[in-house]
Amino acid sequence: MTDQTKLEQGDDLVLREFIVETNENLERAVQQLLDLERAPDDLEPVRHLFRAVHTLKSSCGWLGFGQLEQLAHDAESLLAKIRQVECPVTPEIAEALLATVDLTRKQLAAITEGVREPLLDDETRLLGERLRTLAGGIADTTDQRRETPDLVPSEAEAPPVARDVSLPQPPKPDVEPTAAQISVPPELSVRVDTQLLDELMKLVGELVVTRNQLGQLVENTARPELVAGIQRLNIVTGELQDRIMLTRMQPLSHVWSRFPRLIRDAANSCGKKVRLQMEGADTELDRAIVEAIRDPLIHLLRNAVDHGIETPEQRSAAGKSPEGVVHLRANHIEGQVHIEVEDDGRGIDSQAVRRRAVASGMLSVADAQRLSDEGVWGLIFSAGLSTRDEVTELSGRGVGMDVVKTDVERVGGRVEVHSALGAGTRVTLRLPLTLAILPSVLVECAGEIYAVPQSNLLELVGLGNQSEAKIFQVGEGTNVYSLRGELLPVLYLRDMWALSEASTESGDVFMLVLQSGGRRFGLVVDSVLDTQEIVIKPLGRHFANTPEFSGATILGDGRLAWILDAAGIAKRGGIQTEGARASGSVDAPRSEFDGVQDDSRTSQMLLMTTRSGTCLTVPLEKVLRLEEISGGDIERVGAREVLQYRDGLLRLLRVEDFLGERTNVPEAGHRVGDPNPDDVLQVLVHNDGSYEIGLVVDKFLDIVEDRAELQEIRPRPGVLGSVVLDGRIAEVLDLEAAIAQVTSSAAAKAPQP
Amino acid sequence: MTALMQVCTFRVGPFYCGIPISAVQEVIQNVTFTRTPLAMGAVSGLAAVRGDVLTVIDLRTKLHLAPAPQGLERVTVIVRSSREAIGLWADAVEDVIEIDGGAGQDPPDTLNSAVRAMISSVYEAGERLLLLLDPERATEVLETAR
Repeated sequence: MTDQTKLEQGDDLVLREFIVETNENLERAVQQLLDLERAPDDLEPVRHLFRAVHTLKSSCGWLGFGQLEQLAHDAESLLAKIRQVECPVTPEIAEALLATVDLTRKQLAAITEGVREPLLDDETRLLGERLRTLAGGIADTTDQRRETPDLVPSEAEAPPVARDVSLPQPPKPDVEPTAAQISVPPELSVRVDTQLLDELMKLVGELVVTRNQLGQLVENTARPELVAGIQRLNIVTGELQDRIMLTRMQPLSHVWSRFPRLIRDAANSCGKKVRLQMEGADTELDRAIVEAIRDPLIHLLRNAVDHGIETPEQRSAAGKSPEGVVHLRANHIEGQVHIEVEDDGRGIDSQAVRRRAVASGMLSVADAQRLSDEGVWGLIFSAGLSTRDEVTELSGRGVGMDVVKTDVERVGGRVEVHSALGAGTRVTLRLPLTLAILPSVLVECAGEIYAVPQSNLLELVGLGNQSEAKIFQVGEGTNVYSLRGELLPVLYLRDMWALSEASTESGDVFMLVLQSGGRRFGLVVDSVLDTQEIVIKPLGRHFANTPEFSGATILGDGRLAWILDAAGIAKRGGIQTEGARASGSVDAPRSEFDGVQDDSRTSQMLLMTTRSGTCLTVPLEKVLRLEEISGGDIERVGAREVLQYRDGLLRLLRVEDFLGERTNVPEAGHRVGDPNPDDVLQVLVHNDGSYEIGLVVDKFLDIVEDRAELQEIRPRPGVLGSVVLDGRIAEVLDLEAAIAQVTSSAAAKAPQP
Repeated sequence: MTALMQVCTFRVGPFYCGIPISAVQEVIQNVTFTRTPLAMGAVSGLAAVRGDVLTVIDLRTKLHLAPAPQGLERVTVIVRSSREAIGLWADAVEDVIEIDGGAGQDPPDTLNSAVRAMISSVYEAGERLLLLLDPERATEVLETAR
C-alpha cells in the first residue's frame, strides 16, 4: 500500500472502478443481511459482511473519503463485536446495517455525480452514533476497539482491497444468492460503454444490408471468385451479428438482486410475513428489456405484498401458513422469456371486479356477467378500474396495472393474470428475448411492403380471388369472415390508407389473422412475401400520432418497410379490444324491416339451428348483434324471460317456443324449473327500428351468400318459407311475427297458455 | 459588424432557399425512400440513410407549391432539428455560399403566413433573393395524420 499514494484528483478510472465494485459489494451485503434476519444465529453471513465492510473501509481511506471511512469503521466494529460475542443479530442491528448500506449508496451516487466528498455530515454522524451505541449495547466487557484487529485472523491472507471472492457462499434454500459475479478473474472481462455496443449493433445492421446488396449484384455476374468471396462475407457477417447480439444480453439478476430487500421492506411496513422465492435469475434477456421491466416487476411485487398476501392472522384463520410466499420465476419458453410473479395470497374476487366495472360504467350488467373470468382478469388492466381505494379493498389488485401493461407492451411483451379467490394470483409477463430483432412476416399491399410481427399473428388464410373471397359485409364498412365458425371482423389494409388506389378487384388476396388486446381480427393484404427477422428502427417525432406503425425496418435489399402495429390497426379500424368492446359502441347498423325476400340481389344469410335440429335462417342485415349468454343471466318477469342488456331489458323469445316445437312443456309459457344457469345460450338480437328482441337459438352455424328463392311460402306459423342454402334446407324465420308475439304477449299473454 | 455565415443553398420550385451549413448533416442525391400511406401533409415518408430511418418532408408542400412534376430527380437535404435528423426534399442542390449574417431582412409581408413562419430572413444574393430557412420551423408539421 505504501507505493499507492493518495489518488490524484480526477483519477476517473480508479474512482469508477471503486464505485462499481463497491456497489456490487453492497448488493451482496444486503443479501447477507436479509439472510441474517432469517437466521440471526448464523455467523457465516456476518463473516462475509465483515469482509465487505473492511474492504469498503480500506478503499475509502485510500481514496480519501473520510466520512465513508468512518462510517465503515463503525459498522465494522459492530460486526466485529457480533462475531466475537457470537450474539444473534437483532432486528435493530440489521436495520442499522441496512441503513448504512443505503447511506453508502447515496454517497456513492453523489460521488458518481462528481461531488468529491458529499455533504451528508449530520446523517452520517447520527448513523455512526447509532452503530456505536448498538455495539456498546452488546453485553461484553472486552474492549472491542482493541480487539478488532485480532478478530480478522482468517482475513489476514486476503489483501485488503480485494473483492470478497474467496469464500463460496453456502447455498440458501429460500433465497437465491445474487448473480454470482464471484470467481471471474478480472482479466477475462472488461467493462464496455453500452453506447458503444449500440453503435456496433447499428453498424453490423448496416453491414448486413450492404452484404445483401452486394450479394444481389454478384449474382448477376458470373465470377466464381467473387461469389466465393461473398459467401465468406455472408458467414462472417452472420456470425458477427450473432456475437454482437450476445453482448446485449444481461441476466435478470441484474435487476432482481434488489428484490429480496424490496419484499422485506414492503412486508415490514405493512406488518406481514413474506418470503420471496426466486428461480431463474440467471436467465438472459436484452439489456433494454431487463431495464424496461424493472418498474413493472417492482410494481407487481409490491402489489403482491401490499394487496395479495394477507396478514399473518388472516392467513392463519384461512388455514394457511402465516408466512406468505411470493414466487418470482423466469424461464425460456418457445423463444420467449416468461416471468411469473405469483403469490399465495387472497386472490382476486372476479365478481367484485365485475361489480366494480359495472359501477364505473365500463360494462353493462349483462355484459359483465357474460364475461368469462379470463375476460375479468383482462379488465384489471383497464385504466378505468385502477382507482386505488375501492379496488384495493375489494379485489386486492388492480392499482396501476394499466401502467404495467403499457410498459411491458412497449417492449413487445404481453401480460396475463390468473387468479383463484383465496388461493393467490399469478401474473405472467411474456417477453421477447431481444428488442433489436423481431421475427416478422412481410406482406405487400398497394405496392408497399409491411412487416407484421409474428407475435401478433395467429394465422394466414389464403382467400383466393378477391372477388370470390367469402367476406361478408354487415352494413356499411363492417366486414366479417367466418373462420371455422368464428365470425372475425375484417379490415382491408388497402382501405386504411388514404393514399392508396382503390382495390384492383382481381388477383388473389390473403388475410392475416391478428390478435391484439384479446381480440382477433382479419387483415386483408395483397400478398404474403416472406418471413424475416427484422431490425426495428424507431420513427421520428412526426409519427407520434400514427399508432398503425410501431416502426420501420430496412430490408435485406435495402428497401424500407413499415412495421404494422396490430393494436393500432385495430384501433384505427374501429375494432375494439375486450374491455372496450363489452361497453358496446360498435353496433351493426340498424336497417328497416322491409320483408325478408329480395331475390333481385344476393343477400347474406345467417344459418342457425334450434335444439330440435331445425335449420333456420335470417338475412344477416336483420341481425343487430349476436350474443352469448349463460342461462343464469336470464330473469323472469311474469311468464316472460328477459335479460338485463345494455342498461335496459331485452325480451327473450326461445325459437322453439315461437315455432311451437317444444313437446315437453307442461304449461305453455312455463317451463319446469328455471333454465340451467350453466347453459350457454346463443342470442340473436333483432331490432325492427322500434322494438328490440333477443331470439334464443341453439347454435349459429355459418354465414352463407345466396340468391335462392323462397320456396313453400308460409308452411307454418313463424316461418316465411324455406330456402336451399349451402346444400341444405333452411326455414326463414318471420321476425315480424316474432316481434308481434313478444309485444302481444307482453300485454295479454302473461299467465295463460 | 459582419458575421459571415456559410449557407447550403438549393432550389425548390421558383424559390432559392438556404439552410445554415451548421444545421445540415449532408445532402444525398439518391435515397432509398418509402412514402407514407397515410395522409400526413408535408410528411412524405421515410428514407434509409446509413442504417437509420429518417422522416422525409417535402419542401414543396411546406412552401405551398404544386407537387413536383413526375420524374424530377430530387435531392434530400438532411438537417438536424430537435436532436433528430430529418430529410428535406428539394428540387436541386446548388452551392455553399457565404453571406453576411447582419444583412438579412424580414421576409416580405405578401408571403403566405405559414411560409413566412419558416423563413428566418431574406438576403440579396447576386441576382436572386435567398430565403434562409429556419431548420426547426422547416421540419415542423402541424397537420399530422388525419
